[in-house]
Amino acid sequence: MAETVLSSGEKIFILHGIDAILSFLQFCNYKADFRNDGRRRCEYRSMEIETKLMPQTHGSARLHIGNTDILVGIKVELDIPHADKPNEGKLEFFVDWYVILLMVIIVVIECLVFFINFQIIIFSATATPAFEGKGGDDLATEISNVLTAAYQTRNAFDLKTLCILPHKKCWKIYVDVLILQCGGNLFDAVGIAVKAALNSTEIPKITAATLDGGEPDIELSDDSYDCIQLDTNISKERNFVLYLKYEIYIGDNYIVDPTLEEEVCSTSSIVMSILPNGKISSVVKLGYGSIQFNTFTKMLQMGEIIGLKLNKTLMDVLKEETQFGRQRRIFGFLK
Amino acid sequence: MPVDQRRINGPEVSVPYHIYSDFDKKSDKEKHDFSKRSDKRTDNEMRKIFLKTGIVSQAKGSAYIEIGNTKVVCSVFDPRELSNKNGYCMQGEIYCEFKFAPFSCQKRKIHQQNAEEKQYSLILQRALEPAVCLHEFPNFQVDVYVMVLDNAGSSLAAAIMAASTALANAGVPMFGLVTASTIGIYGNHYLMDPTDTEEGICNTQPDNEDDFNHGIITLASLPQHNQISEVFLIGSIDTNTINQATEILTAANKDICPVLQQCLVKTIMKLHNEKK
Amino acid sequence: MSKDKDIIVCVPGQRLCVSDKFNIAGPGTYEQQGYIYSKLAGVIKLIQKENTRTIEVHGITEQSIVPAPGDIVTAMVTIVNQRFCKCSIKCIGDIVLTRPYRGILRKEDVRAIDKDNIQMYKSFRPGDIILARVVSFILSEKCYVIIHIKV
Repeated sequence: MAETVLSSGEKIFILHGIDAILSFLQFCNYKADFRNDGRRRCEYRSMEIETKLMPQTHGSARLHIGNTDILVGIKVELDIPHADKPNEGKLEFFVDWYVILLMVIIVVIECLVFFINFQIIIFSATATPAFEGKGGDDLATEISNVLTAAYQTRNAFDLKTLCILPHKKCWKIYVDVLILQCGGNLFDAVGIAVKAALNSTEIPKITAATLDGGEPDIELSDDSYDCIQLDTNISKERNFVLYLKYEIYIGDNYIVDPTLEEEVCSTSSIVMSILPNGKISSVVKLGYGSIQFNTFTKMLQMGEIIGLKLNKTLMDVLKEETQFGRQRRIFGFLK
Repeated sequence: MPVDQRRINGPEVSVPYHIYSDFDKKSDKEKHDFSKRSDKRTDNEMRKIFLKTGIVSQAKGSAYIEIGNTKVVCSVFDPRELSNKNGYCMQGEIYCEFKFAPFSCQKRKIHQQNAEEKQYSLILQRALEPAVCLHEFPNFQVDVYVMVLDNAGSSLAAAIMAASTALANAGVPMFGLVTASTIGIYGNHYLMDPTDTEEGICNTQPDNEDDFNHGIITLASLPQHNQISEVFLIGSIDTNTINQATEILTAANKDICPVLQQCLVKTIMKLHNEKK
Repeated sequence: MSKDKDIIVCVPGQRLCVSDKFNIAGPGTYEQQGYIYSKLAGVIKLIQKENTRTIEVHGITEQSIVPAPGDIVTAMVTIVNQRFCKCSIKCIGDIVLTRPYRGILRKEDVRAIDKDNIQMYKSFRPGDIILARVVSFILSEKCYVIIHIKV
């Protein structure tokens, strides 16, 4: 896991920028919410996203936001439903690290600009409080737990659509998240990437599913292009996937989409997932600090607004991408 | 998942028989009468709490809590040096382990922690961290072990309270006591301190309704300082409902605090008299 | 919280009094926004001086104690070599520890005079019980540096 070391001076610089502590600026009615990369408190960094870039998967996405780089691959396999939920499929999340190796490669290949960025990142365990513990293992568990919690409700993902034959056969979706680089705000990045990947997932079409003497008999369509798009075909009006957003709370103010340096300065943060209909499907507090009740309420409201906006933008972009069709040029890692 | 080699485990694939007997009773959920709860409580009423310290003699501090039928035991051990770290931590750490006893739930749990228990361990840790003076024991780790003996709902909240009492009992310096409570939301109903069946109902969405609030919120706070130390929410709930629910929960947490205080005072008095 | 037989009992997070020139927060308490709060579950002790009053809270269970620089400790020598000997710290002051801490006694810290002629093997043997003072904590080795005190 990458470690960011900041001196107390650097921390104060970041905090004061966010806190707008310069009183004379307030007198001038000048809003001083500056972050160290020039953003406002509730501004996101620009993102790059590409879906369907891996031919071996049923759905995939790669997301780049700041220095954070996430790759999500989705595999669909056949399984037997849980006995207590006979007409539901399964959805599982796995999160993996690939930080150190790839970072070294990039430093070698890429130009100097990258190198300067990496100066602050030192490779070793014991990082910010959030990453402490078993070398980022805890964080990986945390991310997959948060994802599982966020997708638990039927509003987010209807597992019944994955059922083929009750009690006998269902689809199991494996969502494998690979964190290639960590530049802060992992929860958001993973959330967006998973959403995009699930959105692009195509499940093979089943032409016949019968019970033959108690044994399930399933026939798949011969044409490998004959697939069901997870999102559109199953439920027209419901965007099943949702959005995780991450707010980090520094001092008295809160910010969205923190960079790694900002994460180091914060004492606690709230991760929430927002459904397209404005409902919240999970909230978890992270970090070792505590939050005041008022701040919590404000954060929730702000989160809802930003989450919905982000969700709309993402869906628009993904729609635009699908319009290119299958002939679209895939960029992958050749950027 | 690593295989447990120390014990003889039950058959690999087995299911509790309840799920088959419940099939025809599925309509129960729709029928569930929300005007009165199964244990004759009102929606805002909590179950009775029993709290006791010093239950485990070998631990530095321990506590046992009963909320209705939910029974949780917690023990806290002496700080120990963080040995397998390659740096020096200016702050101490709390290590929490949350475990359901194998027989505590309807479905048998294996001895190793599953994903849910691991998550609860992390939540427990984050709920306690703001309350403990971590800077007082740099490079040391305090171990907190929580075992749920009987899960009849709200076991996470019970675990948080037991752990905070046990920490205070162990003499770990703390900024304040942590109390926690759970609320289940189902439509317009706010079910305070839900039982396990109520939790199950709040977790599922009725089939025919899309725009429906349902879910469970657990909130841990430091009532003496008006701070929230941890929130855990699952389900699908709109912001207004969450705000209302958190208000109810913070009020409830404030009400519970004297129970913890009283229990600790009793412990101190007892030990003091023994010394004499 | 409750007064009984002249003892004042308090619990963590309990507000004890206003923090000002007269009332001073002592061990077992902390200050926040002008008030003194208790950190421990225990008994309050007030230490009156001329024009100040220090408020202390003493935990009822024995405190988990960690060696601090300046503490006098009793240690047992475990490994001796030419440059230093390793010890395990058994007691701090007169409190017996439940878990030993690691300590290291360097050659130059054995005695105050004639440091060049110290021979570790002639000074200590494994199993010796020594009295020492804690100097500092080595981060890399995670052990306490101690100075030998001649009894």
